[in-house]
Order: sequence, then C-alpha cells, then structure tokens
Amino acid sequence: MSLLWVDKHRPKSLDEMDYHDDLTERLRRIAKSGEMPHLLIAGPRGAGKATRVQALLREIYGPGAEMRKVETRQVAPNPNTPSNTIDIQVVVSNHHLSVTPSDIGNKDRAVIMQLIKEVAQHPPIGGHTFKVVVIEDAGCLSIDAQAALRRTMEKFMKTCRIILTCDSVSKIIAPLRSRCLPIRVAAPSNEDVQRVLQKVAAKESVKLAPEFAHKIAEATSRDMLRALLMMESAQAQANSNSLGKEITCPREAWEQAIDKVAKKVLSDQSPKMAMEVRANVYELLAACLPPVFILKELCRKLVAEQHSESLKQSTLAAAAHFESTMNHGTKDIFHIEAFVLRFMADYKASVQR
Amino acid sequence: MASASGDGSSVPWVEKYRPERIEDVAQQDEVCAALKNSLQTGELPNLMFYGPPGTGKTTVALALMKQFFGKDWRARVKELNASDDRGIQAVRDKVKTFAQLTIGTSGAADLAASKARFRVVILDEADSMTHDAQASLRRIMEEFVHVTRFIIICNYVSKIIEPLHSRCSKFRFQPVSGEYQKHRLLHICEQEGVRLGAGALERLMQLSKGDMRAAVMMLQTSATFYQDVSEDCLQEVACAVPDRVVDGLVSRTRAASGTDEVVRIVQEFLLEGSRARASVCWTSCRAIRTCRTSPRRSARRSSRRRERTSA
Repeated sequence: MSLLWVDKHRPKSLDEMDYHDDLTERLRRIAKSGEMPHLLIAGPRGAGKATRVQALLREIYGPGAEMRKVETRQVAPNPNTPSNTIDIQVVVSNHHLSVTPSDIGNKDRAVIMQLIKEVAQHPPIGGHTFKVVVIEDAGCLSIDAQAALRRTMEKFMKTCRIILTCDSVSKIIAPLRSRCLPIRVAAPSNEDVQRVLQKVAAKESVKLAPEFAHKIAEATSRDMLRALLMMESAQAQANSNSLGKEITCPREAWEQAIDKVAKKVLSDQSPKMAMEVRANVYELLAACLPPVFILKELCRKLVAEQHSESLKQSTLAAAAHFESTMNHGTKDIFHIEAFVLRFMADYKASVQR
Repeated sequence: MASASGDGSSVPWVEKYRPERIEDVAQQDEVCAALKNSLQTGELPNLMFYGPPGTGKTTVALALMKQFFGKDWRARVKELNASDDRGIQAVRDKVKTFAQLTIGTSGAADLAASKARFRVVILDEADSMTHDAQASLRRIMEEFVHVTRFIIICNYVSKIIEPLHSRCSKFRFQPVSGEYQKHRLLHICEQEGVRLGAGALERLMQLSKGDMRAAVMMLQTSATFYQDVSEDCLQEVACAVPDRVVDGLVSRTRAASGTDEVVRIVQEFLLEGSRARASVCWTSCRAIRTCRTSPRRSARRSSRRRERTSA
C-alpha cells in the first residue's frame, strides 16, 4: 500500500520534529514529568498540531500509543431513550481516544460527556496514571458542550486528561482556557517549509529545485500539509523525478472554482449574474468547503484584482461584516450572497465614477 | 515542582488554597457580614450570588455549607452544575425528590448538632439553565421552603428569569482587588516555594483582571511547566499577545504603503497562531491611544483585522 507523502513522512516521535525546537523541548518535559495538565493546542492549519499530539502520546506511552484503530461507537445522547443512538467514529488506542466533534452535530454535549466517562471508567493500564482524550477541532464544540466540559475536566482529572486542539483560541470559552495549559504552535517559517520539502524530496529521491520549493511555500501560505500535498501532486503531474523551477504550482480544484466565481462577479454586475453566482456558491458549499473559507478566499481574489484603495478597503470591511453575521446566523449562503451583492454595488459605483 | 509533588501535585492549587471559612473570603465584606449573621441564627434565605468569574461565589457557597453542617455537609447538600443534566426533566426528578425529603434527627453527630434544619440545593452556573427549567424551579422553591433552601450562582444575573430574582436575596460579588490578590498570591508562592521573576506579580494581576482563579491557575501552570514565573511565561500561559508584538504590528501597519501590504502584514501575524480576537481589541486600543490621525482610520484598520479573524 502506498501512503501519501504527508503520512509516510510524518514525524512519529518528538525527536523527529523538524521545527519549533523549544516547543518540542517543552513537550518532552511535560511527558517526562509524568504529570500532564489538560492541554489546549492552538495554531493555524497545517502547522503540525495533530502530529505533535501523536508524538507527545508516543513519548508518554511508548509504541503502544501507535496501535491505533478506527472504531464506530454507538452513543445514546439521552439516557431516557437508550434506543435513540448516534454513530460516531473515534480513533482509539489502549491509552487514548480521539474524536472530532464536528462529526457529531448538535448533540455534542451529551456525546462528549459519555465518551469521556467511558474512557475514565476503565483504569489506565501499564502503570500509567492517566489516559488521554483528544478532542480535535475543539472550536467547533457548541458553547453548551464547552460549558459542560468545565466540571468534567476537574472531576475526571485523576484518570483522564484532555487535549483540545483548535485553530484559534478565541473560539474556546474563557473558563476552559483557564483550565488548560495553552500551547501555541505557530505556522512553520518559509525556510522551515522549504527545508522539510527538500528533506521529503530527498527521501523520495526527487530532485527539487530550491526556486520551486520557495514557490510552493509561498503559494500555500506556510501550510505544511498543503505544501507536501502540492509537491506530491506536482510530481505526479510532471511524472518525472526532477522538479525544476519552471514548473508552476498545481492549482487545487476549489481554487479554480472560486476563481471562476470571482471572474464572474467582476465581469458583470447584474441580478442575472447574481443568480449564476448563487448556483456556483451552492456547488462550493455542496463540496463541503467551509463557508467562512469561501468568503475569505473570494474576498482575497476580489481585492487582488482592484486598483482603487478605497474599494479594497470597503471590500475588506464588507467581508468582515458578513463573516460576523455568518457566525451569528445559520444559513451561510445568505451571507456569502450578501457579500457578493455588496461588492457588485460598490464595484459598479466606483467604475462609473 | 519540588514542593508540590510531595503531597500529590495533581491537586490544583485552586482547590488546595480555596478558603475554607467565609471569614477568609476577604474582599466580599457585605456578603460575608450578612451570611455570618445567618450562621448565628441558623436561618438562611434563598440566595443568589452573581458576579464575574473567579470572585469567590462558589467558594462562599461551599464554605457556608461546611460551616453550617460540619464535615458531613455533603449529606445535606446537592450541588448541580452545567455538566450535570439540568433540563426541565432533571429539575422535576432530581431536584424535586431531593427537596421533598424531610430532615431526620438521626445521622452524623455534626449534622444533628447543626442549628440548621434544612437541606440546600446549590445550582452552580445557573445561567446555562434553560428558561423552562428555571420556570419549573419557581414552584419547587416555594413549596418546599420549610425543608430546602436554594443557592443560585451565576455570572449574568440577566439570564435568570424575573420570578427567581424575587424569591432570593441577591448578592453581588466584586472583582478581587489588587491588594488582596497580591496578598493571597504571595502567600501561595511562599507555601509552594515559587520564586517570582521581576514584574511577574504585576503582570499576573493585569492579566487576570480580578479573577482570582485565573491568577492562581496561571501561577501554577507557569511554575510547573516553565519552572520559572516570569513575565514571558505568564504571557504564554494566558494566551496573551506580548506588547512588543502588538507594537510591532501597529508600527508596521502605520508604515504600510497600501491596503495590500496591511493585509499581508496581518496575515503573517495570524500565522503565528496568536489569539486573534483578543489581539484585535488590544491592537485597536493601542492604535487609538497612539494615533495621530483621526480615530476613524484606526477603527477601519481594526475592522480590516477582524476580516481575517475567525470570530
């Protein structure tokens, strides 16, 4: 079975980490002390949060933590109606359980509670004093679920530690923040990304031109995960083991789709075009792109095409406004459309002037 | 942590140094005076404690219970908080059955000796209860007033329905003052053998903003995992953005030639993984304070930043 490069060359232990040496050192100290607090790991996408969690678990529990399997658990959110269950996928080993709450939906409070209780019920094995529950993407937890975690964290502290990962600490309520040790994982620097790309390329015996490595790091905005994926797809497209500087970065499908929307918006500002854009945006949403992400990328594309400073600023302000309304509301398409229409109006006005 | 590991380092300092008697919860003079009175008479009205986090609401409630009922206080007290199920069904089942029970004369000596002839239900974090559940409490509170008292604890008094307000005597908890906080933190440091770096105490107080629990938590995490309590460590622990980073951001944006450059600078800043929302408010504070042009411009800047912030 051939793995993606990202998975194949993912560092397995803290010793193999490529960047953020001081952070690695700190994690090692935590593992060694035998007393881990609850952790809150925050950082942008592709900075290596999950990788570090895995490595930390390995450092604590040894190779046993790597015997992972995916399980489907049945959880009954309401104890009064035990027949009404939800199936969720969790990754478990003998020492830990990892869950992504965005899979669960609006019953997340009960489900997370049940999972933690289940883990805490069985005593830790192999002379360890605690087990670990990893909640990935904890920013997606509802406020309700986060509030419920407060007490649970204290109650099961003896046998069960919780690791939350999220992309922005702002999404975690303050009482939870104060119960965890926050660990910030910054995105790797441009040089780090290039270094890792070169290292992986060497392992795969691919010749990678430094210029191309630089190009990838720029295009993926220092996102390690995307950078590696991009290099692999470039290699597959070029179908040769040497990636020279003349190769362009392969563009991802969503990027092309959003580009198309941006072009449409710029080409004609009319109700008819707005309807067409609606169809396209629905397609993007159906492809499971996060709505906030669509809005951001669209805004970035539109701003890049402008020359007038005031239009740029008003576009950014509009995007900021509609992003916040989107977070309050429930129907994402409205807000993306509202942004598109606001931009069309502003753009038309500025062109006529 | 040398001294802490001796007697079970897993006990958080917040619990270890939680005041045991209401006299020790300094700061909240008004509350304490009223409650001391009721300790002497053995009478207790329904209570509502509200105020910002970390000001001692739960501490006072628990200390009061201990002083009322002695060491077996748990037999008389039911504590429910947000992690327990507190929908309308739970209120009807659990709270009502508990509230109905009469007080026996047998049982532990402490309890029998206690002047207080009632049970207590503590509803912690009550602002996260649904309105329906709160409404179902109204009748329960009145009906069983001869055997049961309620202590409702919340951050936002406005999230508690009006009829419950009128059934309780309300106490507002003030943020803990710098003076007292300093005294208490120094006491903990002394007990645990922690050495504070220069300016660390001031920083701790500034970051916690009168939240005693946050301050103690920060102190413990910083001491345990950085082996040293200095300004920088505290900043990391509090997820705060260091002043120099905010300053750098403001000065770079000011020097920027156009919108594109501002966007780039902000993006770079966000890739460092700092707390975006908090940075927005710190940055705009700083920008407005140091702004030579009109405040509108800095406000616009902060809105641009917000665009990149996933709220």
